[in-house]
Amino acid sequence: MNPLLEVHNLRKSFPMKSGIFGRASGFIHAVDGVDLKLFPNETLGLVGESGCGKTTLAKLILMLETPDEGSIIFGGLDVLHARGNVLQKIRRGMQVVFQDPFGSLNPRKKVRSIIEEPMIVHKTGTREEIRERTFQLLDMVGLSQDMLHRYPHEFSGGQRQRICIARALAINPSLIICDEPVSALDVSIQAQVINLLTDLQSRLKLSYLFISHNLSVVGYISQRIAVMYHGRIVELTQAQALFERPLHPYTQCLIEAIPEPLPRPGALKQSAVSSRNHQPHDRVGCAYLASCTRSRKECSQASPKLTEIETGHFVACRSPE
Amino acid sequence: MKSGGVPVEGAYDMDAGENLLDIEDLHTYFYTPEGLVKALDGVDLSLRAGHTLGIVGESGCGKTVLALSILRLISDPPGKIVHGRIAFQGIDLLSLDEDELRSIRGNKISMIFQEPMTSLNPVFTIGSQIAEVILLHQRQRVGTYREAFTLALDMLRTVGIPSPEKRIKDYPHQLSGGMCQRVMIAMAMACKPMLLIADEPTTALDVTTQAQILCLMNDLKEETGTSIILVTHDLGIVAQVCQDVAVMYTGHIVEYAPVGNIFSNALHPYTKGLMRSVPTVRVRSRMETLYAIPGTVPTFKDMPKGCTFNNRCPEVMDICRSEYPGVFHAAPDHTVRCWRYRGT
Repeated sequence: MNPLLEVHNLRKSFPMKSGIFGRASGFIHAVDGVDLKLFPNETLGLVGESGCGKTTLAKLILMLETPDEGSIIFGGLDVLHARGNVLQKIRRGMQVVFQDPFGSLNPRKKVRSIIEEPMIVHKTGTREEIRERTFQLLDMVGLSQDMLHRYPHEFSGGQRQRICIARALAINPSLIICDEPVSALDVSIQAQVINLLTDLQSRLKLSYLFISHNLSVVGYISQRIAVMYHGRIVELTQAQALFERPLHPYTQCLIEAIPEPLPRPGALKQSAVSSRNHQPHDRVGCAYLASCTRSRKECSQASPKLTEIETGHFVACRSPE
Repeated sequence: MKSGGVPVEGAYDMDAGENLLDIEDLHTYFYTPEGLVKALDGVDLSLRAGHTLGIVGESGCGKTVLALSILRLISDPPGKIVHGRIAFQGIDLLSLDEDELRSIRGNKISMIFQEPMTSLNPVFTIGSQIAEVILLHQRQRVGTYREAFTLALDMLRTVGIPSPEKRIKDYPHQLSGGMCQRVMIAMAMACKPMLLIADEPTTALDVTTQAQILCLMNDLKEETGTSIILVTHDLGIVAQVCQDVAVMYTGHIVEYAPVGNIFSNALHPYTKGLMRSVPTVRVRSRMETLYAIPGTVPTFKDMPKGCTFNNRCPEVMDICRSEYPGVFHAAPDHTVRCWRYRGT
């Protein structure tokens, strides 16, 4: 099967400004050589702590940021060199749902014009067709038609996220990038939105790139999971395998740190301590070196490559366990 | 009931088994232009000394209002504690005047807020902010700023901030979220309080940092014997650190039990729903759809008559639509507000 999205050796760094003239004193390598493949009708989870580059990666794929290096192929088309009609076609193919449903809807627009806007921009049909489609979309995400003439502030967080999903679905994309779509929601509402997303996926054959810092949510919704650390993918495998047999020390640390909803006295792990160093590492050695308990001499000399250790299980570590 | 002024230093020791905090029939209302919001509508709660009590519920259920009511930090207007009793070591907090309260706030009861970055003052160094608390409350023990500063340094060391000698002169923006939360804990623990109220202390933090902060709070509790009220929406955290759990919904405590009971034998349909809606990789592997409680938390405008959960409840009965259930004892230490358990 051909991948829907293929990202190769993607890099993006931001200058760190300092002093009164704002000269760049160094660089933050937000995305540091990422390779990814996303297949049709698949959910690929992307986990990592804040500041690891998840959102930057999403922005690069969406062309909201220009990468320094690398390539992005979407549906067989080269995203970075696309212009004109081709670019339009690519943009129609991918949509995004953001984390904060309070900030991502225009407070001055009614739900109707929010959902219609992408269809008007991409000229998907006549006024009548667009109207019809808007009703259909509302129905799909579980909102009633009388909500069309209300403003975003009249809705709860969960309902707003449904509006965001309806807007993303408006132009029939094949890929939806979900950047922490349920992090701002309560547990019971979170479950409703997750169910909506999985239901829509099976009905519309969508692909998701699902970004979250919550491993349990990602583990539930994804078929495959990529773990990101300091701008690099350190482990990539099937969701089940990642939880049952994590091989990278960082993944192990992340999984241990999840508070299990099962009371076991003394289960809180002290081992989770010092998982993250804030110093920008020198990029020569492994990024996880400072926190790693299994480091070897070679680890400081060259950063490990993402290699396939078992079928479909990729790890960037010299001593995977 | 008004006690004879401020309790004396060192009068903390109490008989074993006595409750540190007793809340009876607490009502906190907000008088807003849109109408009366009953944020707390009859809350009963007790906390045993040395225990950690978890308060769980979704946003808008009154968790934070409860935490703020204990410290009487509800801004008036629009808020007002209209009825009830909050007894802390036998002293009714609601009858104290501002001066007496000040000797308790930050000293015997202290609080950690949700967002560490915004709860610290950006124009003072973290050292001076911790020293301020100590100077304010421990005048008898600590005379000079220098002494307070040394104590602040000790506190930073206790909460595990690396090279505290350097960090103590830092401003909040120079620290990460996890470090700021440690500073908040240091500040809250500086006067060795009897009760620590932590309102979503780890919500803004990463999982690994969260684990560190929870470990730290647990350790401090073991060392100092401080009781903790932990307000959270994460059932995982409750399972890991709490001994008792109170589940809140629309201003009521709907279920109250030891942590083991809550997880093995949840009774209230809302608690059961919450438990089942937590996604895990194991659920998915059995190809089950994730359980979701239908509907949303009602706002004060559309509060259902009778039990406030009746419009979302899968086990609703006729009586639920007309009357709010009282407190039923399913076990000696397990109470639930649901008509299903009337006979027990």
